Amino acid sequence: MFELIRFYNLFNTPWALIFSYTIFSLPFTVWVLTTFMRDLPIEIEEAAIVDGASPIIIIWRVFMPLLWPALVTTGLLAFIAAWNEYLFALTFSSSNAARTVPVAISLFSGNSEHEIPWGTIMAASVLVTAPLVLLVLIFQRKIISGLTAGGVKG
Amino acid sequence: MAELQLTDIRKSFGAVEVIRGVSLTIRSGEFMVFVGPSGCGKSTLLRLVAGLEAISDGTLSFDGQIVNNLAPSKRGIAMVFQSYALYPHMTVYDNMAFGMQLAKSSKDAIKERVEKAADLLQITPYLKRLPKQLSGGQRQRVAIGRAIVRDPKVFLFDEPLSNLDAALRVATRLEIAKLHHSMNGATMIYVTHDQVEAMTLADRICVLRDGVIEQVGTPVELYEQPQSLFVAGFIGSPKMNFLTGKFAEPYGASTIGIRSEHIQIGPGEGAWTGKVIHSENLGSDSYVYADMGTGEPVIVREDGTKKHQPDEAISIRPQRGQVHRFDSEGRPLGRQ
Repeated sequence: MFELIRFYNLFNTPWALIFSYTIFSLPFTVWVLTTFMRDLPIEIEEAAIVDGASPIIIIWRVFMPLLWPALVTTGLLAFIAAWNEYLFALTFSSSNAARTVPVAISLFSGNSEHEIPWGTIMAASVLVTAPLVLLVLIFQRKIISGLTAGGVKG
Repeated sequence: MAELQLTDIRKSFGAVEVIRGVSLTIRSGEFMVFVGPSGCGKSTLLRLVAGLEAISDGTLSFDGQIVNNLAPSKRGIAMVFQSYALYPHMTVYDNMAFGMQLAKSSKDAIKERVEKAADLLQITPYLKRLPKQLSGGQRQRVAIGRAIVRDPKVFLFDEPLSNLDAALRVATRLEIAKLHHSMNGATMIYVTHDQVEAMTLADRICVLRDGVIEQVGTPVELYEQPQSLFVAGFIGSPKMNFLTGKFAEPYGASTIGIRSEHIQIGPGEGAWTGKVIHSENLGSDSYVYADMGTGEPVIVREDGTKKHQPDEAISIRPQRGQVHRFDSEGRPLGRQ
């Protein structure tokens, strides 16, 4: 991996992490989303076909609204995974500008070699959870299951 | 408004041929019911008409125009699904308006049509609600409303009542019948496995079995002149009693079929004797299950006031002229 990053000249740039996180979270998100998509009733698609909807309209106006909760949920999970990732972030960056929060926190040092600044580390850790909490608060209305309830029987 | 002509329609899924050569004319304005046991291909046939499945062979035409390769939305059909298939995220109004919105109709025209349909089905109070806030019967009415708004030439119903409870089913059945009367001239095709629905709703019934048509006719024709043993057994509730061997021989047939209401209880000329297994009293009628030594019990309908105890001896005789005779191939030989 490191060799590849060097080869493409991505070392110590945000792109190194963007690519590796995208590639690593893709299998997981695809897997989660396919289960959601399989649960969409086929009759709804057929009803839309009879109503005269083209495939693009079916995806945008019928399936996307139904998939929103799933997209938000998997998106949040992928975000959390990338946000908290440590190993790649440590390996692929060297300057303060390209570093991610977990790496930066781990590099906090005290006044002497023998002192670990627990107070500052804890304060920083709490602070970095803030964006997560914020995102969940914003999307909490969307993170609900059973949005398809009522469209088909049951 | 449209006459449908099916000519030697075939449909294969891989190597399995599900519809094996169906030819049928559905007259304009007719209420046609496809009925048959599960797996007989009736739903597939409806989906072929709708255009949701491609026809493997044969031609389908609406008013003389071949529509084999026409998209469902261009055929002038509307379909009501068994599971309603409403769009869960849209209000009832939007559900009904969706097709017209896609067709780029004007807002006023949409509003007028939706409100008219809602009025007809008495769902006007629910127009702002989401499907999940409705009961099963209301959802099914919205699904029917969505079909009406499309103003189709042909209505297709795919077992629309099978998700409803018994009382609601009877009520909705009545509404569909009323709908057919009020929409003068709309052709309707209705798929069901419930032969009571078929008998009560249909102008004509098409009985399917293993992908071929067994018989097409009015409910009364099918009831009184079944063209095969299968139709005789399928139409009518309770099932027609079939007797073979020594019971059938005097009639010159290999199998005879007698409906439960055409059997009299009491000794007399040509009476058979057996014993009562069970009797069901439904109030107005009672059904007596009699063991005649034939394996299957013979079901006899009787006045609801009579009572029979299990193991009681019983003699029964068929009414003259009401015995359906069939040869060994299951073909009819007429009544006697």
